Amino acid sequence: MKAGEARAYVRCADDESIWRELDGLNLVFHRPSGLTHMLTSPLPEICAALDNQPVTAATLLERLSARFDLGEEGDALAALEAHLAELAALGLIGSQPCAIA
Amino acid sequence: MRHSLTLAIGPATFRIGSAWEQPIAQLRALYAAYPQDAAAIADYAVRLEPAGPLRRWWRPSVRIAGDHMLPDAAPMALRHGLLAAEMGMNLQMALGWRRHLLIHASSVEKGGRALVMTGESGSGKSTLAALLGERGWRFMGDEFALLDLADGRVHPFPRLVSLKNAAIGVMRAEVNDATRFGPMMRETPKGDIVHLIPPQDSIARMREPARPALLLFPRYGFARDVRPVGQGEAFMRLTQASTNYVALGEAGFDALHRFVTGVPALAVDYESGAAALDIIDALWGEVA
Amino acid sequence: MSAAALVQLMRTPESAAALRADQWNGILSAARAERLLGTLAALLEYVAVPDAVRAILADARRDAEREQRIALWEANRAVEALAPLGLEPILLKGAAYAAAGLNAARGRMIGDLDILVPRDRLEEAEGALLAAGWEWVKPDPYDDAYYRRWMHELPPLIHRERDRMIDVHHTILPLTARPRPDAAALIAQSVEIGGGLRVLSPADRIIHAVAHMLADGDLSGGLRNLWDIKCLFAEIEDKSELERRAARHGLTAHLARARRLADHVYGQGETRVTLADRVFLRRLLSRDAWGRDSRKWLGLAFYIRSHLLRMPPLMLIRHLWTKWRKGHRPV
Repeated sequence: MKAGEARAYVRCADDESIWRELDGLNLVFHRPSGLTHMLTSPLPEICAALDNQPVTAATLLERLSARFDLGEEGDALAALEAHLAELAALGLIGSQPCAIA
Repeated sequence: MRHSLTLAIGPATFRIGSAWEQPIAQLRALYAAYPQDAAAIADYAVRLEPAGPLRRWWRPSVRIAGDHMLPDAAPMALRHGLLAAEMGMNLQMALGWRRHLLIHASSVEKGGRALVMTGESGSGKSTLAALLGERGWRFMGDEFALLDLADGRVHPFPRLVSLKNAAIGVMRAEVNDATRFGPMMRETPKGDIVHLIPPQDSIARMREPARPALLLFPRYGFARDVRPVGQGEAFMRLTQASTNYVALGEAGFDALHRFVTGVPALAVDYESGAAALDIIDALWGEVA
Repeated sequence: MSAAALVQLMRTPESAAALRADQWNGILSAARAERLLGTLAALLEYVAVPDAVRAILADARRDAEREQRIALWEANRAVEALAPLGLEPILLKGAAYAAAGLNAARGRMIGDLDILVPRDRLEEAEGALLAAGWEWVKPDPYDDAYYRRWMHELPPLIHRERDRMIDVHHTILPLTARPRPDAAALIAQSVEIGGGLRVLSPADRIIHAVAHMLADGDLSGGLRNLWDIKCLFAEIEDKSELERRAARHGLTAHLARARRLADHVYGQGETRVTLADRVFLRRLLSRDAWGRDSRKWLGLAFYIRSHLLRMPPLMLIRHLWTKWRKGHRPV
């Protein structure tokens, strides 16, 4: 991804992965890659906050702050962007270039 | 190949070919109570080959090959040929088996329910299973526990017990029957090794699965301690202990999830075999 | 020879009913050694076979399905990594057959992901893949220099989290090989198949499979390559286009030989084979009842031959020497 390029994120089809909770950990089997991931907070919450409408990190941050205490906004946005990039690389969420930043 | 033998252990059938007679003769004798049907269709071929063109005669050296191979496996001395054959069979299971989730674990059964023990080499899981097998439990296997993908039961894989170093003395004291022991192989890559033929009952019932009731992570050489292992941790540790978890994909994920959510898991540290057997007795009393 | 029994069974799956246990054992071991067990399983899906065989074939079928799913995911990740460069990678070999839904993909095992990119964009592509988590497999200065100077691909990369290899090609034969396929023409004629993926044109797929089997390798895995070619032949509509493309890439003779071998091994066997073809056939069908390569000396000859095809002789000696000193042996 080019630096500064805006991305929008979207939930993946539900049948792409299987989620199971074990002792508060989220175990995810991702069908296309055949990989198992163990996700801890806040990654499951981030996935859950996405839906079928692509949104930018900033929009998602608003959505999440309504539900969770996320600390300083600047730091929170940077952290959220890093988490989103990580989840997108694993294929657990969709990511696409975004025309409007 | 010049010498060969077909052998069934639990659900798997092996066809073992060798350039030399000795390892095949040893296998034939030690596995005498197991099905040896030369007309069977085998799941895997194992080959014990000379490591080089002259190595059948000159400083004979065995290369372990077969349907599934490790490219860089070091050859072994012919006097360790029996061990080479065992390793060849293990390798086929580890790399090729897909009909169960294969966990590097020992298992024993009592009253239709199985105790599964997993841990690194040196954890004592193999010796403990062998001891329990002489004391009223059915020995199901010392190396691989096979988890049924459909119903979660444990299937036996009761190959010969591979006793290493100190475990040899422990089992010689326990088993009062010299005919159940194989030849002493000194200075193998894993130290001294002697194979022990499992109890008759274990071989006769090698196709009979059991529902898992308890999972232990034993650790030998530490002060006595028993602590619960969380389901998430058990899951992660078992993915590490399974050779085919990744290859089975979703079926492996489901089987392992069913296993860790259905079976209590405990880490057990112990200082002696007697202490471990005590702990197991007490824990079994609680779950059974 | 068990390889001969294997291809006989692939030609006539209904002959399965007459096989004895010892024949099955040889066929299954040969099929594993040639990486054709999944293909055999697909061919025998609706044929009655003994229970023990059915279980083995079912395992192979599931393995192949899983490998294909993962190969397509790897392709998807490569597309994602290269998209910001405006670069659409062209899938090659197994992943291409799977993505395009070709018959050759049925039951086929797929290992590494092979992609083709224009040579002048190789460096950019490499940078983007490194940034997306791929790493060099083994940094070995000799191998690395060798690859970059003479090969048709980058040294293999492996993804640090997914543990999967990718081979990035800029053409389909090493630069030292005598035939010099026209990489620009391959890329220009490639076709889009959706999802940002491209594959070679139907004719060029065959050209690549033929080049890979007969102008590049030591024929190890040749039975599988030949099966690919046989399946690709059956699906091409414009046969005259295939001849034109072969001529353009300097592979006319290779194509003709591949056609004779495919017909002889997997087809009706009506084509006359040449004396040289017979050497190829012996090499292709050399697995014995234990899955061993029973003609190793022939293998060595082919190893040297395959290097002669690819490299001028002095360079060959230098290369073999460097390899052998490090303990590598061709057989």
